Amino acid sequence: MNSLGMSSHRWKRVTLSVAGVLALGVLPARAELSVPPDKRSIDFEQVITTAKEKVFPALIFVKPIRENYEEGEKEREQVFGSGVIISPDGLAITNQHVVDKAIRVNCVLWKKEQVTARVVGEDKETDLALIQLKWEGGPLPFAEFGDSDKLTEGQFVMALGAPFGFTRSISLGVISSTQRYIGFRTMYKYNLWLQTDAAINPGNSGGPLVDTNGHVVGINTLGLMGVDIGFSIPSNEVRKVVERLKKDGKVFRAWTGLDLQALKDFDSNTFINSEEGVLIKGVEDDSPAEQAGIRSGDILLEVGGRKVLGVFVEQLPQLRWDLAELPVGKPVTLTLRRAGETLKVDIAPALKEDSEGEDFDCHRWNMTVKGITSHANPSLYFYRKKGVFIRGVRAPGNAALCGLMKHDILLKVGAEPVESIGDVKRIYGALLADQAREKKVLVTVLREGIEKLLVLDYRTDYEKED
Amino acid sequence: MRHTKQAASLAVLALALLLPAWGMTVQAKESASREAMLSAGRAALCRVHFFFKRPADMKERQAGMPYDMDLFSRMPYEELIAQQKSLVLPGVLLDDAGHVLIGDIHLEEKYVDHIEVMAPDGTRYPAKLDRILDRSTGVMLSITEPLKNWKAPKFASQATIADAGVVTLRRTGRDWLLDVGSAGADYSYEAGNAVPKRFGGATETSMMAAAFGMFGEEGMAEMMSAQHRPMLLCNEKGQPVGALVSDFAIDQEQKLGDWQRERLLAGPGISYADLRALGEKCNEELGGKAYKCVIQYRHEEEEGANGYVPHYSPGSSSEMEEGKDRELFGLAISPKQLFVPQPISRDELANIDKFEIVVGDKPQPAEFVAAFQDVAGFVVALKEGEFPAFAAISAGQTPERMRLFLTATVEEKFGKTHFEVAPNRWLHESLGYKDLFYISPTYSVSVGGWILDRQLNILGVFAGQRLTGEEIQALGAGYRGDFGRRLMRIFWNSELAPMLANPVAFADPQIRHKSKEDAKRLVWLGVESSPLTSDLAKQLKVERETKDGTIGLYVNLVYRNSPAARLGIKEGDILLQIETAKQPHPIDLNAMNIDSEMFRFDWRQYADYSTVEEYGEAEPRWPLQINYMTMLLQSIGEGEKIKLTWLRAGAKIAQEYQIELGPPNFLCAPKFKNKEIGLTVKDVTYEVRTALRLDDERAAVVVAKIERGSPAEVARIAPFELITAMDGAPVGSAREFGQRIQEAQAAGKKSVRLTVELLGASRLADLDITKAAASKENPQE
Repeated sequence: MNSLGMSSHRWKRVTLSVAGVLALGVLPARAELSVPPDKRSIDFEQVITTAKEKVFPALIFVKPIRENYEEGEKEREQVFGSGVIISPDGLAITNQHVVDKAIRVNCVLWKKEQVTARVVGEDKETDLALIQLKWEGGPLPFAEFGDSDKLTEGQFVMALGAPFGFTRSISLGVISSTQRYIGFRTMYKYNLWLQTDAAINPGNSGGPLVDTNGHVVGINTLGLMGVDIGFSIPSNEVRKVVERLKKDGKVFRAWTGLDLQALKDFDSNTFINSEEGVLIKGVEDDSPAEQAGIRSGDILLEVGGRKVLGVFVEQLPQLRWDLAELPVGKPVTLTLRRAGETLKVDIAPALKEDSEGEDFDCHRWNMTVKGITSHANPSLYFYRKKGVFIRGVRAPGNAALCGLMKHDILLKVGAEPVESIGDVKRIYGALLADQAREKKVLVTVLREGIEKLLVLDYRTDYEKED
Repeated sequence: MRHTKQAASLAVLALALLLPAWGMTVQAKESASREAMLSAGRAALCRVHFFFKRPADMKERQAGMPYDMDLFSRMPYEELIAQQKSLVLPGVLLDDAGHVLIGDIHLEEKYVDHIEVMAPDGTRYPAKLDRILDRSTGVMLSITEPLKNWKAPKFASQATIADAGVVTLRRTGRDWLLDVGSAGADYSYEAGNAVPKRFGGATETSMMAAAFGMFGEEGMAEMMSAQHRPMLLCNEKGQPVGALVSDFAIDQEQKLGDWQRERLLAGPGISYADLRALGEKCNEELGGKAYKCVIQYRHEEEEGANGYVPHYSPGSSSEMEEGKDRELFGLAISPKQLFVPQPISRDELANIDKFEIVVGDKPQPAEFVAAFQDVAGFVVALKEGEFPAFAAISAGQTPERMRLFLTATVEEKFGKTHFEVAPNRWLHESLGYKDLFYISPTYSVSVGGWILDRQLNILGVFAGQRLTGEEIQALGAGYRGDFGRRLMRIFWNSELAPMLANPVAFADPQIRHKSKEDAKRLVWLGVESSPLTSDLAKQLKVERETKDGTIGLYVNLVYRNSPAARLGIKEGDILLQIETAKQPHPIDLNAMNIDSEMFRFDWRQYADYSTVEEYGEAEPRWPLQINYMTMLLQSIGEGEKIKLTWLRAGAKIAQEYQIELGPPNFLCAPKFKNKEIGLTVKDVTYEVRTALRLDDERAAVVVAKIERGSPAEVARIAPFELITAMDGAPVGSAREFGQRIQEAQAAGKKSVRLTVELLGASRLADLDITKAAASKENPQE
C-alpha cells in the first residue's frame, strides 16, 4: 500500500531499449503536405477551458478489482486507470490492460458519483476495452472523437486522466510522433501509435488524449518511466475496434501465419531490393501459410488480387489488419515472388484463437498454471502444442521448495498426463479430495527440452493459521 | 640325622641374615652406578652454541611458490637469523682432544657463522664442524683450542653391554637438566632372543619431552634438536662406553652403526669441505646434463577461462590458471629425451600448447613423449638436434641403512642450471601403497631431487608415487586432490632404469598430448540424468537399491547412437554404479557431492563472460555436456572397460562397455570465427539438435558468439540462435558457412542474407561482410 492507501496502479511499463526506439527513425513520405495548425493564436487558458468543458465531464476514473495469477497464487488486487465515456447511455472506453481479468469494475464519474461497470468487450492485441456503466440517472456527458489522421508533430494535446490516482488531472504537451511503430519489442502489431510528451504516468491508462478542439484523438496507453515519452492509440484505430467490440464483444481476426518484415528494415539493417510487396520473414508452425507452402524469404505482392505494399515498418500494421480481415475459411489467392519467379498460392485463413491460455490457481501447491497458446507463449508452444505451463510459484511455497520453476511445462502429475487446464483442475481436485493419500506426488516437467522428475511435497498448508 | 637338621637351621639362619644384606647390596649397587653415570655425564655432556648468518646466496622467497616439501621441515634459519637467536644443542665430549658429538639435525654449513662449545664449568671454546658420520646419526665437532680444566670422563672399553644406561642433557627455560635412565632395549619378536637385539633409541623422558614440546616457547629448531639428541652410553656399572643419538637404536654388534667411543672417533663420514667439493664436482659432471623445460599453455579467448578443463581439476598449477609459462627442470637421459620428475595430469596436458627445452640458452622445440603410470614424472624429447650431454641411469645399489648418500636438487641459480647437493640417509621403511615398503629419506627432499652416491653416480630419484584411480577418488570424494603429490618416495634405479629406457612402454595411456580440438573432446555415455533424492526414491519405490536416494542417476534422456542407446538404457532407468579395475570397490553414482563451488558444472564456467554481461544472463538452451557422468568416465579413461549397473522396474541390469570418445559437443564443435564480422558459428552438435528438436535433415549452424559493435550485432543476430540459410540456400556446417562467406567476398558482395531461426520463428537478417579480412578466416581455427 502506498501512502495514498491505494494498493496498486495499472499502467503499462514498456522498456524499449533506447537504441531500438532510435532505430525506428524513418518516417514514410506522407501522401499529402502537412496541414499547418490553426493559425489562430494559442491561448493556453482557452485551450484548457475547452478541454475542460468538452471532455472533462466524460472522463472517468476506472477502479477494477482484478485477479492476478503471476505470483504463484490467485490474488485479488485493486488497480486503477482512466477511461472516457463515448455515448450518452454510458458506454466508455479504457485500456484492455486496465480491466484485464477484472472481476468487478467501479468507476467514478466527473460528478463524483461511483457506479459499477461491466466489460462489454476487450481486445488484447490493441489494448482496448469497452465497458458499460450502470447508470439510471439520465444521459451522461460524452466525448467526441477527432480525426487522428489529421494530427501533425508539434501540435498541442492534453492527456486527461488519473496519474498515480490523482483523479481528473490534465497534462499538456505536443505530439512527438504520429506514426510510431513499437511492434519490435512489444506485442502491438496492428496499429501505429501517437507519441507525446504530455505526461503519461501510471493511472493515465485508458484516458483520452485531447486536441485543442476538445476532441479525443487518442487513448493513452503506454509510457516510459520517468521520461517525457508516452504512447496513445490513435482515435481512428480506436473507433475501428470499438465498432467490433460493440458488435461481437471481441475482435475476430483471421490467421494466416504469415510473419511480415518491411522491405527496408532499419531494425536489422536488412534491405530487400524490391519496389513492391512486403517481405515474409517467416511462417508460423502448423499455419495455413505453412500448409500452402509459403516460405521465409518470399515476397508477398498481392492478396486476392489487391496489391500490398510494405516498404517501411510503419506500413506493416495496416497490412496485418487487412490480412486479419480476410474471411475465415474462404480460400484467397496470394501472389508471391520467390527467387525471381512469380507464383500464386491459395490459402484458407483460419480463425485466430484466444491470445492467451486460461489460468488456474493450484492453491494448495502454491503455484499457478496457464494454458500454452502459440500467440502468447511461442517458445513454450514450440516444445508442446497442447499443454500447460507453470505461470508462477509462490515463495515460500510448496512448488518453489520442490524445485518447480516458472515456465516449466507440466507433462505429468502422478501417473496422469497433462494436456490442458482441464486436466490440471481434475487431477488437482482428485488429489486434494483423497485425504488418505500421502501429500506427495511425482511431477514430470519439461524444462529447456529435457524432462525432469520432481516430487511435489505439499504437506505444508501455507494458509493455515496457528 | 642330627647333623642335617643343624645344618639346615644354620643355613636358614645364614640366609635370614644374608637376605637383607643382599637387598641392600643391590640397592647400593644401583645408586653407585647412578652416581657414576651422573658424574660421567657432568663431565662429558656440554652445550654447543650455533650462531647463524645470512648466506650470500640466500634468495628471497617469492609469493605463490609451488608446493615444496623442503619449506616445511627445513630448519627455520630465517627465523633464527631475524630474531638474532642462537641454537643451543647438547653435545657429548668424547676425548680430551676436544671432539664433541652432536645429533645430525641436517644443519647447512652456509648458515653457520661460528660455533662455541660451553664446558660444564661455563668456559666457552670455539669449535668447528668436522664431519657428518656415516655410522651414526650424528655430527662430529672439533674444539679448536686446548681444553682447560675440562677432562672427558674415563671411557671403559667393552664389546657388549648387558644393562645399558644413558645420560642426556636437556633444557627447560634457563635450567639445564640431566636425565639418567636406561637405554631401553628392543628384542626381536620373531627370533625370541633373550639378549636385546638393539638398544638405544629415545629414553622415556626425552620422548615425552619431544612429544609434548616441553621446551616452553621454543620453536621448531628446538623441537627438531630434541629428536636427535646425543646420549652418553654407560655400562651396568655406570661407566661411559660410548654414545648414541636418540632417534635410532643401534645393534650390539655395531653392524648398523657405532656406539663405542673409539669407533665413533675414528668413524668414517663426509667432512663439510668434502661436501662442498662434491657439490662443485656434481655441477661439473651432472650440471651439463640437466636442462630447463618450458611449458606454454593454450590461451582460449572465447568459451571461458578454461574451456578444456573443469575447475575441479586436480593438479592444475597456478601458472596454468594465470596463463603464464611454467618452468621445470629435467635430466637428459638419452640424446634426445629429457625426464622431468614432476607430476603432470591429463587435464593439465590438455591445456598445454607446446613444450620447449632450453639448450645452451636457446629454447628448442620439444614434444611430449609419455607420462609414467607409476612415477609422477614425464618425458619430453627434442624435435631436432641432440643434447650435448646426457646422463646414464643404469643399475645401482640401494645405499645401506644409515649410510650417507647425497641428494641433488636442480634449480636455477644466478641464471644457470645448478645442482644443490645435500647429505641424506635413510633409517626407516614405511609400509605404503599396495602394501609395499618404501624407503623414506630422513631429511626432506624436494620433489624431483636426485639420489646420488658419494661417487656422484645416480641411484634414484625422489618423486611422487602415482596412485591408481587417484582422479576417480578425487571426484567421488568431492575434493580437489593433489595429483601425484599424495605419496612421495625414492624410486631407485632398479625401477627407474627400465622406465627411462622405454618410456612409451610404461606410459599412462590416458595422459597424452592432444591437439587443441581433440583435447576438448569428452568421453560419453550418452544420457542426460539428474541425481535422485530421498523423496524421489520413495515415490519410485527404489529406496533399497538407491540407498534411500543417496545414490542413483535418473535417466531423463538417451541420445541416439550413443553407448547408452546400444546398451539398451532407456528413459526412466536409474544408473546405480560403475565397476572398474582401477578402483577396488564399485563406484556408487552419486552426483550430490557436486554442490560445492569446485564441482558446479554449469554454463557460467564455460560460457563467454562478456556475452553473459551483454546479453544479460543469456545461456544456451541445451544442457552442458561437462557433467558428473562425463567427468567420472573421463577420470577412468578412454578405452577402459567398465561394468555399468542400472535399475529398471525393480530389477538390476549390468553390462560391460568400453568407454569411448563422444562426438563433438557445443564447446568443441568445429567452428567458423571471424572477428571483424563479429560472428562465431559452430556445427550443430547432438545435444543442441536434440534440445532444439531439430530434425536430422534440417541444415543449420548455431551462433556461439557475437562481438560487440560488429556487423553481426547490428544485424540483430543473438548468441545461441540458429542460422539455417544464407541467401536462401541452406547451410549445414561451420566450414560451409565460412566457405560461402569467402566466396561472397571474392565475388565482391557487400552482404549476405541470413535466415535466422529461434524456436521455430524465423526472420531474415542482412550481414555486412565488407570488413572481413581474408587472412583472419580459418574454418577450423
